[in-house]
Amino acid sequence: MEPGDPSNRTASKAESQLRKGVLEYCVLALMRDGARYGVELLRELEETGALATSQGTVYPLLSRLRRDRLVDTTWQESASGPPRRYYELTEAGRAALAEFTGTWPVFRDAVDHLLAPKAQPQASGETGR
Amino acid sequence: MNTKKSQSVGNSAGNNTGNNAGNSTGSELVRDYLATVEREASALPAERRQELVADLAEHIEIALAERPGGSDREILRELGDPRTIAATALQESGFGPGVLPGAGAVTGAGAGEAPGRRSPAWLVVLLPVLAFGLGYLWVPLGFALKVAGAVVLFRSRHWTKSQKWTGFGLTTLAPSLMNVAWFLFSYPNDPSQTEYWTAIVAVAVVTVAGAGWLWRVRSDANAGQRQ
Repeated sequence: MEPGDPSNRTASKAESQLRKGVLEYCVLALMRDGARYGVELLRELEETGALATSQGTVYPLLSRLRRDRLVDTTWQESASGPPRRYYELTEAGRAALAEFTGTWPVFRDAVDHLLAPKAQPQASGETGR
Repeated sequence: MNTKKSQSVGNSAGNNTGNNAGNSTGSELVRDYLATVEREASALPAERRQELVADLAEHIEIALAERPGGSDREILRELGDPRTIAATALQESGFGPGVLPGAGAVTGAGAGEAPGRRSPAWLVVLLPVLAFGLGYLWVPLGFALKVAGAVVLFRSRHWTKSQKWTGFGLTTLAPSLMNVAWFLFSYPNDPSQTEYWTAIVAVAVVTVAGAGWLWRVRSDANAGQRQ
């Protein structure tokens, strides 16, 4: 079994730290509309490109979310194959997600504001809040 | 301390998967992979380690079931390096080495699992103010409180490094320097009552301004975590 090959992109350090920081909330967001099982969550994360590292690293994260009572798990039978463990948001998980949803645009705008070239002062004051 | 949170949740998980995971994912490759994860995660408490292995075993089994043509090799490759997974598990549990210094502000604080006790922000802010007030009653007490205040400030998770230095400068360093200057320059010249009180007020203003600023810019890293 050869390890290596964490993902097909080699993310820069800054990028991978950024992704790591928000991954937890991406995972919570995927459960917003209902319970998901692990393989399903990973597939969607992979598809959206939000995953920082290899898929396997999401399980320790899920385990912490469970311990912190941000998610609950239930077993459900499946028509094909073994039963799946479904993850779903608790009230606390929903609150954490809501809080991040509020924080993120402010944070993003602040960073955008700093990164934007200063040359032309634009009249679009959307960074206020 | 924080690690108590682990108490009850999730242990049923390990047992549950143990039953159905063991049989059907019996390939040598998978067993080796899981054994490597287990070995690499040996610093984790047994319960956590088993939970991690069970989660991965379950993933492999379901991924295989959902992908009839897929090989376990392919699925393991997607899961990634066992060492990376084990390292992540160690970090998430707060047992691991080196949470990245930069990422710590985001993930570490969010996890709220840094070892050791930390003082609440109000105490950090209160100490230098007390040091000012009580220092006039008994100088050694003021000094001790200043030192204590500086220690808890720099250990605190409520401020960034530069905020801590600014806070330290305003609440502790500047007042101390003002006191020293007073004794060196004003005191020998027989200051008037007005000068004396002006000096005290000046020190008070700087101290309280510093404490107030610290209070305003503090971040409650843990507050957002639960409810």
